[in-house]
Amino acid sequence: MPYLGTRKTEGHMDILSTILELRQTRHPSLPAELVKEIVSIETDFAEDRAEGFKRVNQALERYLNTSAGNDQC
Amino acid sequence: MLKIRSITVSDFGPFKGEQKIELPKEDGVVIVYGENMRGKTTLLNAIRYALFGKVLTRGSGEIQLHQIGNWESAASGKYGFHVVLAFEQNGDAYQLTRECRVRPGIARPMSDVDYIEESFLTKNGSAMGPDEATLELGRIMPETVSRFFLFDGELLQQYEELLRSESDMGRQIKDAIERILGVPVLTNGRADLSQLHQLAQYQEAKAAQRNQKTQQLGNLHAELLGRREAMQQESARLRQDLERLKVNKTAREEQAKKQEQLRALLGQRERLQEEISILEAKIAEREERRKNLLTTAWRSILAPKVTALREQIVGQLRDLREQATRRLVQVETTEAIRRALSNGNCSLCEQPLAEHTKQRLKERLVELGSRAQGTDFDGEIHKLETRISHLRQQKTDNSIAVLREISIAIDDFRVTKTTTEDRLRDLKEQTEGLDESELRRIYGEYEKAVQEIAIVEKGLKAQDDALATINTDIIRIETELVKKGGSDLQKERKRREMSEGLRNLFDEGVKVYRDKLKAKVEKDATELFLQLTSEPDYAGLSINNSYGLTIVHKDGNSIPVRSAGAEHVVALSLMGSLQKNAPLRGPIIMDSPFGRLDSVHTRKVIHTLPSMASQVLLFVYESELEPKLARNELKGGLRSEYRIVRHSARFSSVEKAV
Amino acid sequence: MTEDKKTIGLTAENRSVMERIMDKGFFRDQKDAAMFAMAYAIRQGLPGGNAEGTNTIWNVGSLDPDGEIRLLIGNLFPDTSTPYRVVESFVNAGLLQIGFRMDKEPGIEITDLLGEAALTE
Repeated sequence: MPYLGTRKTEGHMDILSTILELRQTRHPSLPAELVKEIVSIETDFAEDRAEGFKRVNQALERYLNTSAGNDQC
Repeated sequence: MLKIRSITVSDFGPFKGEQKIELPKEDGVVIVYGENMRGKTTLLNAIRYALFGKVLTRGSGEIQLHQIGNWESAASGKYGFHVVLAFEQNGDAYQLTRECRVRPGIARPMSDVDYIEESFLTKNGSAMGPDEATLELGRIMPETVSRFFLFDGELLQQYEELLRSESDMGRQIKDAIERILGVPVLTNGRADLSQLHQLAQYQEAKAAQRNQKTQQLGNLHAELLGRREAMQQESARLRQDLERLKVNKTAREEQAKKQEQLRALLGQRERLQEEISILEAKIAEREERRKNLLTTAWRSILAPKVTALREQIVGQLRDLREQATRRLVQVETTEAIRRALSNGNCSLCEQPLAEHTKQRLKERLVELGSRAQGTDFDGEIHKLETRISHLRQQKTDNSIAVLREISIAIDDFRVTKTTTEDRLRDLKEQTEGLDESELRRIYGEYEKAVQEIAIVEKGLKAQDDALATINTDIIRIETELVKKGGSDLQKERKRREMSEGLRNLFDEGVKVYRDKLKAKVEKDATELFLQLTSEPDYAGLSINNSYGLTIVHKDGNSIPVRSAGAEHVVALSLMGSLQKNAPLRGPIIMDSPFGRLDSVHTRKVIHTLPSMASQVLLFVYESELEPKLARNELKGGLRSEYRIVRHSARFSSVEKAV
Repeated sequence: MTEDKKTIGLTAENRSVMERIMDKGFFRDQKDAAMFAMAYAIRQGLPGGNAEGTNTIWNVGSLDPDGEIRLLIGNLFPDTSTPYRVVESFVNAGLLQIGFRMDKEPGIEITDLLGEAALTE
């Protein structure tokens, strides 16, 4: 995962922990890794929305393809 | 954590030639002292210029680049300026240079077009490309949140806007706060996932259309999605209109409020004029009565004398009547004696009178005779009776007490009238030149704005209801597709479900995070505030949905209006709290932050600053913050001091204090 | 025997006092003020006497149409055979005193003079 952990601050951790906690309690079927990745992308590209959207789309597709591949295995 | 290492300015504002301020690696406070108009604000602007290419005036307006260069240098033919900002973040060393130089071929620049502006950023010694640099800077210090780091002590009124959430400025500041607190991470995520969800729905519809089994459903799905998109666009348009109308309404409301005061003043003016008229009528009526009474008041004045005289004359009359009675008796006695002497017999017993008795009677006659002379009693009695009669007929008048009361009443009314006239005069000054048609126009426009908002809100509600219905239909179709669709729809379905799930997660996340943040910001701001304030009756701060902070009294009530000093302390509390809770951390750089604070609060702020941010840079003048006080309060926390030295009106330099 | 006056007048000084009194706006006309001044003078026990150098202002008939004042003065001062002369002298004495009071106490009002105890009481 290219965007995680390198330059993240305490504040970012707080956003992440909030959303992951929510995921666990209310949306456990959603993949934690994908959620983390989206948070990371949105953090890095807060000022570049077009790029942010593109990368979130890519992350989602990547996950779906991997899952689809896993399903096929 | 962003940390500034040095600021170098060259021919920037009053700073002729190259001037540098270095900040230490360690946490602490650096203070730059300078008298007014020597360049303190310019140094703040230098940082702003380096980061964002803008230089602001006190009123937040931009200054043209052409006006920024040092005048003395320009006078000697050297135009242009540059700023170099060296900073660190998360272990990386950056150097940001922004410069403004004269275009080749221009001997004497006259406006911004005669300059070329360039900036470049190095990271760990390597130059970054322009797009990369822009992105990097946007991540390190977005302009929209810079107000929370580059703090001009004069621009406090912006924080009042937070309490009025529908104002344009209020929304901008709220957005900026949410940005610095990281909320856009979640709101952007929600927006992106929402869009992805809709795209996924379209893809599912297309896939369904390709399959014979699900073609009809697919067509219906696609149609509904199309209609929904149109509705959403219409909703978005209506929401934009509503925003615009609300801003307009707020502006009209402000105007109307000002007019409301004037309208109230006008009403008051009319009432006062009426009061004065009533008082004048009362005064005139009383004066008329008084005149009437004074026509005959002379009687009242003389009444006591008349009464006294009458009593005196009554007494005289009584005496005179007594005298007259006595006289009558004398006359009868004289007659009896004469008769006795004449016939020689006593008039009582009719016996002959003895000689000695006759002698005594003759003597008595002489005595009585001498007494009988004089007074014309009848005449005198008549005179006195006439006088008494005249005096009794004298008309009476008891008007003195009434006259006094009337005069007191007139005086009271006059005093009241004078006071009222003074108030009216003041009011007239306040309402001079008021155009009532202007008042009508403003109220008319306000009413119109209110009506327009109601119409748009109604339309928006109808649209939202329609959207809810269509979403229900879409869900129904999608459920059908799940049942009827085969494995070829599975991928599209999974995409749709995943994006929907993620969108819902982020949607909930926004609400939860906002609530968490507000509670944290309120708690941290309160903690700071209680350290900064000297008022023991303040319990803390309370936060509204726009991150506006109100002071709460220990009795639980909010303090509605604040002095500039209190505003300062609240603003600092907010800044400190945002610093603590923001994913973005950076230095606090403040220009004249203590201007409106007394020495007690200044001391408290100085003491608290190191806990608010790890790096603090202050631009102050000495009477605002005494160096001795700063040193005593900060002790080891004070890393260095600089002084802005005046060489001439257009040349200052920065020197490190030893 | 001195003939009684057929007109009542004011000295030059008292004419200006009269104007000042009328400016205060208490009296409807000068006649009312004159009567007030006369009563005030009598009540205060001011000395009467001849008022020298008066200019005629009123005819006694307009001042005392039913003879009430003449009768009253005749009663208050039974020794006089010229009641209107007495009226004139008290009118002028009263005005003089009121003028003096207004000079001494600029804020004084006419109603302040009402019911003041006589000097001799």
